[in-house]
Amino acid sequence: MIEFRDVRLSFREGLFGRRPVLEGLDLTVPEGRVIGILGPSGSGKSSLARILLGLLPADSGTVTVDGQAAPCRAVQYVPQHPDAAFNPRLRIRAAFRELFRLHPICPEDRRKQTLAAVLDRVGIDAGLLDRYPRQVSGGEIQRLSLARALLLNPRYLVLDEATAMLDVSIQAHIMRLVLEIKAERGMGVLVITHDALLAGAVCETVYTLAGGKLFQGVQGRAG
Amino acid sequence: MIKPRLSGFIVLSLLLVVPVGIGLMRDPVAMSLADSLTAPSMAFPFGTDHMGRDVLARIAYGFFWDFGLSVSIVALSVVLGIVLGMVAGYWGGALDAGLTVVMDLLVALPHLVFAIVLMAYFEQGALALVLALGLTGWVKYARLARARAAQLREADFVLMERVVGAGAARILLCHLVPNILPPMVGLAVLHLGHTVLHVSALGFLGLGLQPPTPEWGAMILESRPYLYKAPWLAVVPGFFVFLFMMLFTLVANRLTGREEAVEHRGADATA
Amino acid sequence: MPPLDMGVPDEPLLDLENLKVSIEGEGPTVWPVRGAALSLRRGETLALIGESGSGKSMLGLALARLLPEGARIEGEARFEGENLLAMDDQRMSALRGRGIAFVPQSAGLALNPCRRVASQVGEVFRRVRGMDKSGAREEAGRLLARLGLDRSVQRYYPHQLSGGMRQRVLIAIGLACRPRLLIVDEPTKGIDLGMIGEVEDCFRQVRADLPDLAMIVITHDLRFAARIADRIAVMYAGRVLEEAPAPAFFEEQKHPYARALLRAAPEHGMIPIPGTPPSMTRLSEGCPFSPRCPDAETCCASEPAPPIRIGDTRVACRRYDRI
Repeated sequence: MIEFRDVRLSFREGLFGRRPVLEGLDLTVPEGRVIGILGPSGSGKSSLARILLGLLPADSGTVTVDGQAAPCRAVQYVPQHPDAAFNPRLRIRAAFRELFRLHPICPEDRRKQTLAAVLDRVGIDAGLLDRYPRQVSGGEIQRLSLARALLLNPRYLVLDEATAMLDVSIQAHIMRLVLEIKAERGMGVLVITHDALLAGAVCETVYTLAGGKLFQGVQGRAG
Repeated sequence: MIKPRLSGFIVLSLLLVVPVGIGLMRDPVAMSLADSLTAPSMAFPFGTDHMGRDVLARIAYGFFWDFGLSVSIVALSVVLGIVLGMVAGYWGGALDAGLTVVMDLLVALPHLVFAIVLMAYFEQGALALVLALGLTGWVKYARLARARAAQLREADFVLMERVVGAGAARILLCHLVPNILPPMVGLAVLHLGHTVLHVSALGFLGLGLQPPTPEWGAMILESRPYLYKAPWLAVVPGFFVFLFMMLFTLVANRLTGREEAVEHRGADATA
Repeated sequence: MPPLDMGVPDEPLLDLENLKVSIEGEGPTVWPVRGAALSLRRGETLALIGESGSGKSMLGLALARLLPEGARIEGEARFEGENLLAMDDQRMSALRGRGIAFVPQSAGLALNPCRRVASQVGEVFRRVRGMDKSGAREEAGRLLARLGLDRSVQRYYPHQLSGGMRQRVLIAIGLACRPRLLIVDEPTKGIDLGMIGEVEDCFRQVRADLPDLAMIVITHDLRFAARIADRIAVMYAGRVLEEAPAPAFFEEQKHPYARALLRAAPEHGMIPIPGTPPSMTRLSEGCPFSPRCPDAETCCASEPAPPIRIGDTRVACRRYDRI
């Protein structure tokens, strides 16, 4: 499980001020469960994700993933903006090739099959890899981002407003896909969103982030 | 709207390329005092200088000096500018503050004067010229690179690279540079055009390349005592400096326009 | 409910029939709008619903004649009885703003970042209504206050305002010209769920203050549309597939696409629609939704499906009564 304990974060404001963002936050994301974090923009929910992913250091407190200190390769994420999810100057294939180079995912002769399997699972035609990001639709980009995250076999997935920029019917596709994959692999999923109805429909437990703290929200119906 | 530009570009290119092409087949160093200071004629289309050397040939070989030097200078500026700017923009903090101070100082000094001072320090020669102009011309690239790097470090794909474990070097080289470089190409070509002016200016002042090297500025310097008797000795190199600069400015405009169109198309969303 | 007007026939303010928009660029010609039919009465608010690529923004731009270079409009469009497409530039300029006003999306440079918000609204009063500087300032202040932005906020620059506030400023600019038809493009895009209430309140205020104003609100947000619109029109692949009064629409949708769209919302089952939207470059005669329609017959793909009127509703489906 992912565990946040007494995490605090504040940003520098002006010359001497500090603006508190997270104040003594506690959170548990058990393996195999879907947890939602609800809150408006600026409430700190993205900061929460960034601390977990190692993009931002917390001022104090601990974040652990299955006992080890975050960040950890077992946690991967799907970002919000389809037009910035991949390097706009490179073909999409480059991002996947880079992943294989950075991590020992599989032996070199099995790379093609492994990639094909993941792309097939998210419903993407392999031909899209040769395109540039701007030639691909938003829904397809999010599927590709999902594929990139899944390639590293994570135990936990963070969706940081991953469907906020998508049409409602595409959102339905993507979220169902995530729930299916979560059930197959037993992953824990952290859904960060401002859409309370989405959180209610998808998450087993929903927390609301307000005033830098988490409050237990509506118990949603999952699936 | 495009047609006039293209035909102008072709005409200018021909004006530059044809004389250079022909001149390269002739001898730039053969001296013949009997033939000195002859006006342009069939035998010598651009005349001869005070040593009887063929001006057309000298222009042609001089092109490679001016062009080669300008390219080296711009290359040095671009590399230096991108490296410094990118590093400062990506990491921010003291690095960024320090670079900003240096850039502001450098920009406050008159470019050519500072280059001249540096040349005095480095001694003469082609290398000194390249270093002097290259070490002072990087600021505009650094500014651009710094701004872009600061923007890009928050982009989703860069954050994703950090999450999947890419090191800073990989992020800078493989992801930031390809996004920083394209907008600079137009700028660099424009800079190339201007640099030939600086190179020939320094040559004219007797710094940089010395006579008898057929650098265009140095040729104009050499022509000074004979200005009334043989004006073509100054006019022809001067005209070629102008031509070079004009041509590269046009190309730069074209490139900048095309780059902007690509940026717009990429950012467009259809409703 | 649109107001009852004594003596004046209840003729539609805006009437579109078989409207088509094509855009020619470097590649093949794109057809964002392919035969849209719509009608709007004075005082009505119509929500034009659609997903990306449905052509809804293009339709709005076409009505305001603000399309980009290389765009052509065909078909019939009548505004207050006049043929909108036959107007020359001069007549169109006179109409724009005062007859038909267009409020763009609030992203990017919709507002001048270097000027205070109240002064931007005031400028419209000066230019379009010919007021003097102090009169314009007064009117602008009053209008912004009615839309929920008090005096202190009015002195801010655009970047200091939240998305919902910026949207309201844009609406004020649109209203300043006293148009008879206001077209608003995606007023809730990029605005958090919690803040959409502000925009909804703004719309309610506008409708209360200006009962004669007709509005077309282009949006992909069904929940928002349900709360502010009198009528709903659903667009898909450049065509209006269903047009109905809002309460009737949300109770029961007649077109299979509209039904599927509602069921895709997380609170109604989050059921995805299989398949993908059709290409924007190839026109087909038949129903654009047929490849993805669970109730399609073989003839649906080849036979045209013109809008059929059932009472207050129009449906572009040949099988609506057999489903």
